[in-house]
Amino acid sequence: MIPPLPLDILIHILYQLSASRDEEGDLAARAIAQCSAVDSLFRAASLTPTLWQRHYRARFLYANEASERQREAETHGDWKEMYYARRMIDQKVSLHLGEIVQHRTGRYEHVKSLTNFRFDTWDMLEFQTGMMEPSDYLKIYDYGSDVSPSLLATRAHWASALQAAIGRMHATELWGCLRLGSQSVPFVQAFSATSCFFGKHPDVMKSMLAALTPRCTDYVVRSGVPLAPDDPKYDLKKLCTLICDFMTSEGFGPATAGGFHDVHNLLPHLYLAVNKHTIPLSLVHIFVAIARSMGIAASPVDFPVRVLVHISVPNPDLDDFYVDVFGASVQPILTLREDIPAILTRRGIPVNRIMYYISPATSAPMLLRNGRNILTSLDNASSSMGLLRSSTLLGLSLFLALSGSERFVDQFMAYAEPLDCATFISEALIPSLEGCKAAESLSEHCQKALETEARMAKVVKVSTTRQYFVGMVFEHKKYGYTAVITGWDPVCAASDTWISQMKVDDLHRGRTQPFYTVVCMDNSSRYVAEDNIRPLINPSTALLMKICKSIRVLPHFFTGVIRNWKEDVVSSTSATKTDGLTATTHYLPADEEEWCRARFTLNPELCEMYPEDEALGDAWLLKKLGRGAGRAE
Amino acid sequence: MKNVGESDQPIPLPNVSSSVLKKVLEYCEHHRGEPLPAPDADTSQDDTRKRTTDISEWDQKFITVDQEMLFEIILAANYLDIKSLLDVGCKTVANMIKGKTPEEIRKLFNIVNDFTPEEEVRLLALPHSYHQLILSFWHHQAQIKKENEWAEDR
Repeated sequence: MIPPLPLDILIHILYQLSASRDEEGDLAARAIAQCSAVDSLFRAASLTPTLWQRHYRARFLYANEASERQREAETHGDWKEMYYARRMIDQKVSLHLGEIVQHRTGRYEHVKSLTNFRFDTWDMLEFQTGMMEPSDYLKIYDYGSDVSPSLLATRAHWASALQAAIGRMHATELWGCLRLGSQSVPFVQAFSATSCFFGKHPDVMKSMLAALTPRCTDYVVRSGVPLAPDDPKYDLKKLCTLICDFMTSEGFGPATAGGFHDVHNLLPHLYLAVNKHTIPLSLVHIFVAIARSMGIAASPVDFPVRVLVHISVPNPDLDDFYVDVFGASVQPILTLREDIPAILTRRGIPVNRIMYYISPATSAPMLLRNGRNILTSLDNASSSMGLLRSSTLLGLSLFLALSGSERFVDQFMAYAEPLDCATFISEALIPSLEGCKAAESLSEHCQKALETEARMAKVVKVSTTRQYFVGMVFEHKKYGYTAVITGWDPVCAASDTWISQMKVDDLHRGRTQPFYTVVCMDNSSRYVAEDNIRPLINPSTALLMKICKSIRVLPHFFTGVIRNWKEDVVSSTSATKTDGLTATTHYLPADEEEWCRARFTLNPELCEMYPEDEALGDAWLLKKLGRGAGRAE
Repeated sequence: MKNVGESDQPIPLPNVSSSVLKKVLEYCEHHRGEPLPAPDADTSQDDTRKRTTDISEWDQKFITVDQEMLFEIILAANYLDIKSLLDVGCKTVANMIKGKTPEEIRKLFNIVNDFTPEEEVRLLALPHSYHQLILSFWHHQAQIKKENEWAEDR
């Protein structure tokens, strides 16, 4: 006879089903849920609150704070209910994401429903990206094989785009509070939020900064300087100097001349991790975060030469002083009575303005200063198009959110994509600007942009007169660059000015031939005449992988690559595959033998818009190549 | 087995049969001299380290017994406060539960369903239709990660 197990042992058994943020953890939670339907004893065991608390904590690292508080109130802190509520949200997120990926029409309704959950969606979106670049999901498949491209790349692409959208909503709301002054936002938090624009969760910057504090405390203790303010030997100036030394020991330091205008040095998630040689404002951000966590009243100062830190000294008999984090290797501490007036006098600052320059600054002027820094850096940036676009939006958003001014609305909207219009601009930026002229103008622009997008979503393009198709890789006949076709028009659809500038009419077929929108290896987008396209034949695996990795926007269009090999070369190429010989590129002179063709496969929305192109692409793949054609029968 | 180390008082074992006791002694003999786990180790803490499947090879073989014996061992380990043996037993049972429906679990444990029909309907209304969806993502991602590792090897 099987002896019955008592409740405490049943609970112990369910405790062995470990909580984790992966498939194993989901299976464990599911097993516990199943137990609640076995009998009343199992049910009692499966309702143990700490069991579910453990699973909740392991599974959900992020939450929207307001919603979390509401959930706690609604479920009376029942962890099982909390867990279920979050999994229900996960499910909704997944369904909305599925729709967003599949259909262009109605997409932004789903975007709105999804982003309404804000940070409650974060865990699910993170799973969808798999913490990888969406382009890592682009794989090369052989034509006719059982495995074909999935929608993983497209899902990952949208998941990370939605993370950025939610991050932008969070940041813009925070900055809106600053302008309205209704709620004070600490400088460190408001400043860190700039990284949210790039799809970073605020906790990421928070924990990067928090990780520095214990290391800094260690550093100070090892130097024998007391940390407690009531210690008779407590010396704030020494302490601040040591924090500067500590930052140097951690690799932080002043940017060199060229690095001053590198946008990488202006974004917290980057300068906290890799771009540690950065500008004064970034260094001040780090310094203030560390100093405040050690109980020092440190604030940034909007100083004319470079941003300084103001240290408020509790002892009324002593002067406050300033820290020059950027120039710490020369002179970290600047005095209120000598150094600061000397610098201001040298800069020709009139006496009546001095108070502004020596007082602790609020978050807003510091953020505006960073916005200006970002916008000036973009002119000299050699960074990727994606970073450029996001940084421009960031710089202009800072300006709009903090000043409420109408200036720059046009430039701002020129960089905004439909996703931005549907999310942070209409849901966060415009509401925070209520009553300002900018709000009206932004709403108009947004509405127009979304209407255009809705119209575009219905466009279907078919044509019998063109030779090439979406997903084809080609070489430009004149300029020699490699690019991928992402769209086309039956005749040139650009403006007359562009047509005359580009000397389109000098081409053999002029402006009445098909024109293709393409993305190049440097991530730029171009518009190319059919006359100038030479299809890429015999691409090596290395080249195809390089295209997948280099062109960051590809997952926005394509799901993967299919390749067709000629039968008689299969054996020899699979032999060369391992020794790297295939790494050479094959652009075909007309007479060379063809043995391989490859193309990108279209995502659902491109299939909808260009219904002929998948079939056209397949036909092209099979042309002249025996094996695949035979196998496809 | 705390508090019994140096005592020569006999331990009463009213609920433990001799065949089960033999098994328990075999376990203790094999693990003699191993350090005891911290007496009040936080279950939730060490759980994150040890996975359900983390049972050593010897323990695995040892615990491959019929179900009656398995449950008897768990009860004995609980009674005698041999935490590591209790964990091995409970992990084994946990692995048996995983992936089973309530009906299958009942069959496994020889349990009679004592719910009223109403209760049963309520219980079955658990939202689990989406599990399949999520599981397929985990699966795909694991697959891709493997492929990427493979590519990096080369």
